[in-house]
This record gives sequence, structure tokens and C-alpha cells, in this order.
Amino acid sequence: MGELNPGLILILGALAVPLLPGKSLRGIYMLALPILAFGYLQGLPLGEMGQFKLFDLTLTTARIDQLSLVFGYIFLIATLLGVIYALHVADWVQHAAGLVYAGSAIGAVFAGDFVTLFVFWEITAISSVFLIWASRNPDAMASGLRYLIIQVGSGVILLAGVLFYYRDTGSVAFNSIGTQTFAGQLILLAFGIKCAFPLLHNWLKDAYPRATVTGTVMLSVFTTKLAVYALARGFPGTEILIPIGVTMALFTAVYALIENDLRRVLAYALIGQLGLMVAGIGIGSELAINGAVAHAACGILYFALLFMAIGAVLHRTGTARASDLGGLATSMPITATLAIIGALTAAAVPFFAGFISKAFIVSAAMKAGHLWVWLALLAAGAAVVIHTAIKVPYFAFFAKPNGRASSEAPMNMLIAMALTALLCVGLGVYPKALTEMLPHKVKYDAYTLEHIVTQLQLVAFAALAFVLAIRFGLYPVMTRSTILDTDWLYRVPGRHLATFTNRFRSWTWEWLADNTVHGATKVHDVLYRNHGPKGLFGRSWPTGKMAFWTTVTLGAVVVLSYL
Amino acid sequence: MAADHDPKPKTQSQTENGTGLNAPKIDNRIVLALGAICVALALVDPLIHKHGKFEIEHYVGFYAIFGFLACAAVVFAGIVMRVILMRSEDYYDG
Repeated sequence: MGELNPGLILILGALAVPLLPGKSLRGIYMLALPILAFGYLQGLPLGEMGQFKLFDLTLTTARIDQLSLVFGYIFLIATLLGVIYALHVADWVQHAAGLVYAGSAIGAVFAGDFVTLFVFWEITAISSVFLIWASRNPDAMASGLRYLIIQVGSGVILLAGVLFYYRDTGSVAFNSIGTQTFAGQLILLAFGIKCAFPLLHNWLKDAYPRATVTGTVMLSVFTTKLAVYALARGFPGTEILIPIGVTMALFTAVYALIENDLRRVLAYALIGQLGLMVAGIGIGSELAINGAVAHAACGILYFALLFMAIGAVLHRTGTARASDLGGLATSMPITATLAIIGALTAAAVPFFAGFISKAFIVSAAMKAGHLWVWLALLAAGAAVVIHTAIKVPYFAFFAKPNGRASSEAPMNMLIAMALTALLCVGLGVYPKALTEMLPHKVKYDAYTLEHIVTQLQLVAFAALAFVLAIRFGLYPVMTRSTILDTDWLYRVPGRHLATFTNRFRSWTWEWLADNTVHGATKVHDVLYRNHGPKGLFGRSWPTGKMAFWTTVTLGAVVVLSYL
Repeated sequence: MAADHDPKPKTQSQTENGTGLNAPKIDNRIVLALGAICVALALVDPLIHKHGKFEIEHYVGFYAIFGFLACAAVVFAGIVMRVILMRSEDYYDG
């Protein structure tokens, strides 16, 4: 298997999951898959592999370089953590779907050409929707369907872009594209849908909170970070990405602040952090690209940790609503502690992983002289503290004294969270493990006294704002509610339009059917009266109706063939 | 097949409205500790030499004030947007 895309190990391996009897045997097998793929990837040399000819296209099914390696490794680590977190689940559909999903995301990262990318891109869409449907309730079914339409749509747009790209360049190699051509714009749109660009972001906050407890953790890792990888590969230094990223980072802050469902809060916060990565890719300097890649890796870890912690709360209490939670720190102390580690990483507190990666991007904005971008990213960084880092653990585990869960999270969940937390702290204390993996060799030390103190100031005063807002009753009250987002457009007026169009169509159809039949009958009656056996013109030539129409048809064919 | 979490919520804090006696609380000791940290960080600020290329960064207490104001802005934006965007939980079911 010298030239296999590492993602295929998970995808093919997943096929055996339904056949394995018993939870423990299946568990051991599923743990072995990402470890096996990790070992296999380590043995592969850098370069392009697995080439074969399809018609006159040369496909490169595995390209190992610095950029794809970082994503490959972090995806495999996240897969392992996700598998551990889900070990208690008996439902094989989720396990198999999760592994195929992870495998296809890894496969897409190592794809050297657009055709391979497209294939894996669509498999991520189709496999991941089962993690949403596995909730097995009507809301999840509807949400999953909306998710699938948008995700597959992204793939179709990608394919269209690739066709134009092939026509223009005669190549399907996946390298830097640029937005000058129509092909480039289509491909950017396809990546943008998966990366939750503003106005294209709704599928994420719609579907992630509806997935199963363990499914959401997997979903939070792959789709969007695959899109970040694709942007870093195809569009580094594309300036339009800077305002897009800044918009993502800012508008989600307000939504995360007022949203009641804590998994949806995390979904909005996730989009906000994607904004930082997108802005970093837009800035395009080596430091900025490194920052985007590093922040993708750290973001995977701390969002997985936070989704795991809130998932454990949901698992034990049956709800993730801030309005219904609170005070769980006494009954779930370990989950609470691990959630706080995730929160400190999200807030980019020094000596946690988020500090390093965020510093890369913010410093890159400063070095490139983008004052407003720098201020916006700084503001978004402070806002994370009040809308996610403090909010999520506070409303779940503190806030009210009387909350109670049946017990602490299951052991496998605790182990998965503890390992993720360990990585969050480990990469913060020993950042070299991550920074030496990054695609560009740039010297940058985040741990200067200046940077540590200024970041602590930013976070501490943001925390002060949170405390004061709660104290003075200014912090938005958490209530069971629906917060309107742009999905309103297709879920309310869009639905009315669809209903109306459908009614209009059936009405038109009936009208047309009535009238044409009526009209045709009338024409026939007139003709029959004049040309029929008893008609004025038919008396001496009593041919039937059929012969007459045959003549008309043949005549029409003759006329048409000469036109 | 059932969902993979306990079907019935077991939390006892089922009050939906977080106001009055059920308003979220923060221990006074935590407020004081945070206040002390903030004061300490504000006091060391003039001692730190900043190397950034933007002039605004060199104002004393820039990061503290900016962080606080950014959060205050988000909170007030949240108060306004909540009024505009919030609907009942079953809004899309109708």
C-alpha cells in the first residue's frame, strides 16, 4: 500500500464497523484505525504520490507537504479523541459515519488535484449528515436535510469551478488559484460555503446543535477546517478574504452573546474564530498563513473540548439551554474543570494553546500595517471572553446554586476531554511542538513580557465587563427562544414563495389542461363539421379523423425539415 | 431508537427567566479577586515597553480600556439585537 491516501484507511476501515460484534471489540478496532493511519502517515515521504491517469487527466491522490501534513496530523488526533468520546454509544451508524467523515476530510487535505478533492469533498457532506440524522427526531431530520442541500451544493459549485478551471488552464492540479477568473470565483464560493462565510454560514449554526452529542464534536472538527486548508492552499493573500474574515469575527459575537442554546453559542463562536483564520489567509504573509494554520489546529482542540463538555452536560441533563442549566459544578466537577481549561484556551490566555496561534494572526495584521483589521481582531478577541469563554462554563456549571445532574460524565468522555485539555495546555506551554510543523519557517516568539501582559490586560478587563454586566443586570437574559438569522430568508419568505410557486404551478397546469383540451376539442369539432363524413368538404372524400391528422403531422414534418 | 442522551431533563433549575431571585449570581470574592488582578495589570502597564508599530497601542492602558469597551459595545449591541431578532422557541414550527 505504498501510495495510498491516508484518509482511505479510515474510510475503508469504517466499512467493517457494522460487522463487528460487541461494543468492546468495535471500540478497540475504531481506536486502532486513526493510530494506524497516523503511523502510516509518519512513514510517508514528502512529495506527490498515488498518481494515475483518468482519461487524459493526471490525478494525484496523495500530496504530502508541510501544509497538508499539519492538517492531516491534527485531523487524525481529533479523530482519535472523537472516537474515545463516543465509545459509550451503541449506535453503529454514528461510528461508521464519523470515521468515513473523518477519513474523507483527511483524504481531501491530501488531495493533489481538484478531482480527488471534489470526490472527498462530497463524501464529507454525505457522511456527516448521518451524524445529524442520528439524533432521530423531526427537527434533526429537517435540519440535516437543509445541511445536506447546502453541503452538496458547495460540491456542485466546486465541480463547476473546476470544469472552467480545466478549460482555462488544461490542468486540474490543486495549487494557488486566485480570483481573477470566473473559475477562481466559483471555487472560492464553494470553499466559502464550507468555511461559513457571512450569509453562507447558516447551515453551521442550524445543524451542529441538532446533531448527536458525539456527532457535534466530530462535526466541529472537520468541515470548516478543511475549508480553511483549501483557502490556505488556493487563495493565500487574496485581499477580499480580509473583510470577509473580519465580518465573521465581529457579527458572530453578538449572536453568541444572546443565543440560549450553548451548543449554538459555540457554533457562532466557531464561525468567529474561522473569521480570524480567513483574515489571516487574506493577509497572506508567511506569519499570517502560519497563524491561520496554527489557529485551525488549536481551534479544533479547544472547540472540540468545549463541545465535549457541553455534550456531557446534555448527555446527563437532557438539555444544553443556558436558561435551563446552571450550578452543575457540584455534580460534574471534572467536566467543569476541563471546560474551564477549554475556555481559557478559547480566551487566548497565556500558556494555553490559543494564545500562541491568535498572537500569530494579530501580529501579522499589525506587521502588514492593517490598523483597522488589527483593532477588529483585537476587539473580537476580547469579545470571545464574554460571549463564549466565560459564558459557556458560567451558565452551565455556575450561575445558579441549585442545578443538579444525575452524575459525572461517563469515563470515556472524561478521558477524551482530559486528553484534549492536556493538548490545549501542552501546546501552550511547549508551542514548538506546533510551530515547528507550520508551513513557513518564520521566527516569531509569542512569549515576550510585553505580549503576555497586554493579552492578560485585554482578557482581564473583558472578564471585568462580563462581571459588571451580570451584576448590573445588563447581560442578556437567557430565555428559551429562537434568534433570527439569515436562515429566516429561506425558512419563512422562502417557504411562502415555494408554497406559492407550487400552488401557481398546479393552478396554471389545470388551467392550461382545461383550456387546451377545450380548444383542441373546439378545433376538432369545427374541422369535423366541415371535413368529416357529413361535412361540407368531406362529402366526396370521407376519410377518417386519423387519416386527416396523419396528413397534417406529415405535412408539418416536411415543412419543419426544410426550415 | 432513542436519542443518545437521557430523555428527561434532570436539572432542578427549570425556571426559564433568569431574573429576580433566579438571576445568575457571581460570588463577591470572585469579583474582588478579578478587580485586584485588573488593578495590578493596570499598574504595571506604564512599565511595559511596547514595540508595536501603531501609535494607538502606546497609550497607557490601551489594551485594558479597549478590551473593556469592546465588550461593553458587544453587550449593548446584544441588548438591541435581542429585541429585534428574538422570537418564541417554536417560531419555525408554525
